[in-house]
This record gives sequence, structure tokens and C-alpha cells, in this order.
Amino acid sequence: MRQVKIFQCGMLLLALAFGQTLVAQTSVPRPDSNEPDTRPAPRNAQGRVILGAPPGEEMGAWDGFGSRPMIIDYDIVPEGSIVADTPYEQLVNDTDRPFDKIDLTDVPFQPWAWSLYQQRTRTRFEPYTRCKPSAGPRAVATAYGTQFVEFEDMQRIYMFPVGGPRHFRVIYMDGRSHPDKPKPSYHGHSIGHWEGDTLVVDTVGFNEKMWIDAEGSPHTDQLHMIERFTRETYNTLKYEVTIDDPGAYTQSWSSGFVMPWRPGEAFEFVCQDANMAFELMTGTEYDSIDRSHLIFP
Amino acid sequence: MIIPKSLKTVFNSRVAGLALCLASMFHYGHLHAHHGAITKFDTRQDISLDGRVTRVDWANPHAHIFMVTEAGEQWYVELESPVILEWNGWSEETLPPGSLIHVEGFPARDGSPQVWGDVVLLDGENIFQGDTDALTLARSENQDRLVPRWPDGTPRLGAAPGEEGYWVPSTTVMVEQGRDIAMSANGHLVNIEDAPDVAPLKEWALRLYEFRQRNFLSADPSFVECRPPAGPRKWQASFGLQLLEDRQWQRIFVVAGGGNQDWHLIYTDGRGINTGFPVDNDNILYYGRNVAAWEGDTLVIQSEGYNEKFWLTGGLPHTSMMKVSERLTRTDFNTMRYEATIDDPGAYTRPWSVAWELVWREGSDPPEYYCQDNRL
Repeated sequence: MRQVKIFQCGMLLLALAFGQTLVAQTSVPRPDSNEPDTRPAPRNAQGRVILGAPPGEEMGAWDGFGSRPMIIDYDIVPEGSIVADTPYEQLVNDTDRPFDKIDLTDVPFQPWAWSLYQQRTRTRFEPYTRCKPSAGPRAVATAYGTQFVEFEDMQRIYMFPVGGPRHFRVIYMDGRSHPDKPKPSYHGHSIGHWEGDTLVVDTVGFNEKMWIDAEGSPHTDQLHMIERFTRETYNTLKYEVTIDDPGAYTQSWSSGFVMPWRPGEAFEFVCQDANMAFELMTGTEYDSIDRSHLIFP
Repeated sequence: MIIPKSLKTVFNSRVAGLALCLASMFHYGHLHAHHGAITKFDTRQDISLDGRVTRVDWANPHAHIFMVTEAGEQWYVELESPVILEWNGWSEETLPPGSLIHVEGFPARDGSPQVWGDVVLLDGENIFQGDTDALTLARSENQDRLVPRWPDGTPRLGAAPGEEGYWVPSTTVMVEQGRDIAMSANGHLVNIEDAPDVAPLKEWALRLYEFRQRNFLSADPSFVECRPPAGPRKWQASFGLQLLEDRQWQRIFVVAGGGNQDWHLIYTDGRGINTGFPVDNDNILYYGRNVAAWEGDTLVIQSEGYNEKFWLTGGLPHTSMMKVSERLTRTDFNTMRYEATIDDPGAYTRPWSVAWELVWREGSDPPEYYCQDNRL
């Protein structure tokens, strides 16, 4: 079964390469949503909620199903798209709660950002599916779940998404502040603290080489992201995000989604493994970059 | 000129003088310790260009200058990783588009309009030069610090509480322990005749190794497709690695600095190597199945279940029959001794061993570095 899923990821990349239609979203496994979810969130010895598995229980991760839309968009799926469902269909067909999201008409796009969003909606040629590490909600809601691992001695929380390019993200919990001039990076510089049972993470210093969600909401290197992770029950993690980017939006805006607990230890998934679309790694006519030859690192 | 110190570690003291002399004759010394500039560029030939900059592509693994010569030809000048260039104080803004530059370096082997930028002159100033010593000469000033330990006395594989750091390999080549073989920093043989002495290769594996070497390691899946550089090679990640000990769950996250900056797990919970893994035992993996236990102050790791889609360092072949037994010993605050025995009856006539050091680089995490960075 797992090999089949990896194969499907490869097929997704192949479809990207050859422009064929492929159902990519519907085969992602989802936990049984009919089970009553009344079990309280686990806590550590100090009484604070933990985002991982408590001792004696099975390891698990927060399931993003591959991606979670942040924006309610009633648009139809464009012909030739690799995506099977419209973002709205994805909302109503899963265990998610649409009321946490923002309606497309309420997103305060700047004109250029609105044009780019529309273009990205049509192509869906997103970096994450080409094994590029991606930030914020895109990495939080990855396929096969994201483990949150707290290293108390290091005063850090690491996020280990199982799907995707097998990247990871560090959240500093030691009270440090952001550097004055953070070097633009895929994950940015994240500092976190607890507000009651909610982990609040403040991130700056993003580069512009990735998308922050699967829909392609534009961002610039001015992006300042505030994320709130609240484990409402044992099996439910509420994710809220505020996008504060004066380079792309006229004002800040917020959205979010809910992820279910997916029991099970992380397995090895390497996006690059099934990447048979070789030209996606080395360049095509889609991009003006030409180094005249295969790029050897 | 960048002459990485780590290159010198390839040679032992008895042959160091002669080998370094040979290396400089063949311009090996110009090239950086990691990565395969030599896979793409003929370092035995020189080329110089004058032209105008149209773009600077500041992306890992290697930065590129796009330039047009007076004759109107488009050329691409390859530089070090932006990470290394930035360590030396250079940035994307160093070279604005429109600048006139003079470039000296090595041409691409395939005749394409590419050059390794050994010297880049802007208004007479030699830009983008620097030192890669920071990669390897990371040893702390404080030589008499004790190995940090957990409250139960176990050596810590990472930083002491309140501190930061990561491990950088002392060498980026792989040969059987005790052998002295001249190689470039990325494991390319100076003399192909030395191939049989690198490791006890079976006939077919030797032929494959020689084939990869004769092609300058240019098809390395970890270069071309950013696949994980796994097996013992993962302990030679060019921008180092960290070992994050999740003691509650008795597992260690190995977090890579270079390559595709990925992670994998080593379990220390006593499970068998064939049980308790969240994959089928038939599902062969890049990083294999890894279990470990402490023997005194040494972490002994057993691993198997590797796929055949990656190369060991320098293009050494392996098969899915490979089993690796590794020993990690933090001999002092700054040093982790790494020893491994590779038992692969599919590719080698007998088990063979490698060893090197991991050196503690104090004060920061590895840089964010993704092999995929400059890909579409």
C-alpha cells in the first residue's frame, strides 16, 4: 500500500512533466472521522499540553492529507489541472472545518499578487511537488503527517514532515529574538512560546522560492507569519495562521485548518525517489534559467 | 585560490609532499572539498573570458554568473556554494548585473559555454575568493573541555544544554582504512590504476567503479537528482550533520546539513533490526533500518535494508545485501570518531572498514542548504 502511494507521488510528478490529468488528492488515506473525539489532549509533567504522543502510547503525527486549502475558493478545476477537486470540494469532503478559513473575496491581495494567484491556480506548478522544501501551512499540512518533537534540553521543537522532500523545521523556544537581518531561507527563522495550551510561533526571513500553501498564495521576503497550534483534543490539532506581508497584501489576513492525529511512526519517504521527471530537476523550457548543461552540484 | 585543508587529509604524511605536488600540477588544489566541480570541468585546461554580467543566480548547490562576451556569446560561470561565499563575506549584491568582469578558470568537459570561475575580477578586485577552512577547522578553541554527558552519564551526541553546534566530517573521500590513495576532494582518483586498491571490490563492482570514475562521477544520483547520500556516505555530508537524541522515545534523529538536508532515525529502544519498523522488511530504503546500543561510551549502530539507488562516496558500488556496522565514539569535546565495517557480499570480496573523524563546529546549526535549491 505504501509503495503504491509513493508510486502515486511519482505519477504526480510525471503528470506535472507531461501535462496529463491525474487524480492526486483523492487517494490519500484519512482517519475514520465518525469516531467521537472526546479524549483530552495529553499533557506533560508540568501540566502543559504536548503535541506529540505521550509515554506509553503509540507514536503519531498530524495528518495534513498532502495539503490543506487556506482559502475558500468556489472556482472550478481548470481543464488539464493535476488536482481532482476544487479547493471548496476538498473542504467539504474531508474532516476539516471550513469556518476556520477565509473566503477568496476577503483575501486582501495587492493587484500583482491577485494576478499571480490566478495564474498559479491555473497551473498548480508548485515547488513542493517538485521536491522543494516549503514553508508555513504547506509544510505543516504535508502528506503522511508531521511529527512535532520537543527536545527539552535544546529548548527547541522540531517539525518533521513525513512526506515531501524530507525536510525539517526548527522552532527556537529559548526566548531568543529574530536576527536583525535574517538570511532569506525556505523555512525562515522561527521563535515560539506557549500561551496557555497554544504554541505560538513567530517567523520571519522567508525566501521567495517556495509557496506557502498549495494554492499558491503569493508572498514576498517581507512575510511575517504568526502560527498558533492548539491541540483541542487528543486527536485534533487546530492550526491558525496570520499572513502579514506588506509586499503582497494590503493588510494582514488569517486562516487555518484542523488536522487529525494519525497514529504510527514516521516511515522513510523521499520525494526525490520517484522523481522520474528528470527535467524538473534540471530545467525545462518553462524556466528561463539555462546553464546549458545538466547542473551538477 | 581556495585550497581546502580537508584536501590535505586525503594524503598521509609519507606521501603528502609528492601528492600535493601532483595535485597542484593537475589543478586539483583549486577545487573545493565538497561537490563535483571536477565532474563537470576540466581542471587541466585554462580559459579566460571578458564580458558583461546579465544575472547572478545565487542558489545552492553552486552560484552562477550569467555573462555575455564582447562577441555576444552567452557564458555561465560556476562558483562555490552561496553558503561558502557568504561565509567569506560575499553576497548576491557583490556583482550587480551590467558589471564588466574578467574570468579565469576551467572549461566544461563537454564543450558547453560554462566555466569554473577560479578568478573573477571586478574593477581589478578579485571577488568571490575565500577560504573553506571554516568547514573543517571548526575545532573549538577550548581543547580541554570534557565530553558533555546526560545526567545518567551517557555521552551526549550533540551540544551541551544552552549551547549549539554540529559535526563536520574530517574527510570527504572513502577508501579502505589504512590505504594511501591520491584523490580529489570528492573521491575522484588521480590515477585510475589505483581503483583496485580503494576497496576489495568484486570484478563487476570494480568495472562499475572504474566506469563511474572515468566519467568523472557525473551520474551520481546524489548530485544529479538530489537523492539522499546514504550509507556510510551520510557521515560525510558536506555541511555537516546533527544527532538529535529523543531520549523519551529512545531514537536519534540524524539531521543532515548538506545534500538534500534530510533526516532519518536510529532506534536505541532495543528493537531487532527486522522488527518494529514502520515499513515492510522487504521495503528497501535509502537509509536502511538502523538500530543502535551503547557499549561503554561507544554507540554501536547496525544497519541494513539499503536500496541500490545511491552511490557510496566516490562512486563505490553497493548492493541491497549491504550491512553496515558503525561505531561512534566522542573521544573528546570536539571529536567524534567514526568507524564502519561494510559487509556487502554482493559487491565486495570481504568485509572492509573505513574510519574518519567528525569535528565539532561550535556556535550554530548547519546552514540551510538544499541541493534542490537551484533546480526548477
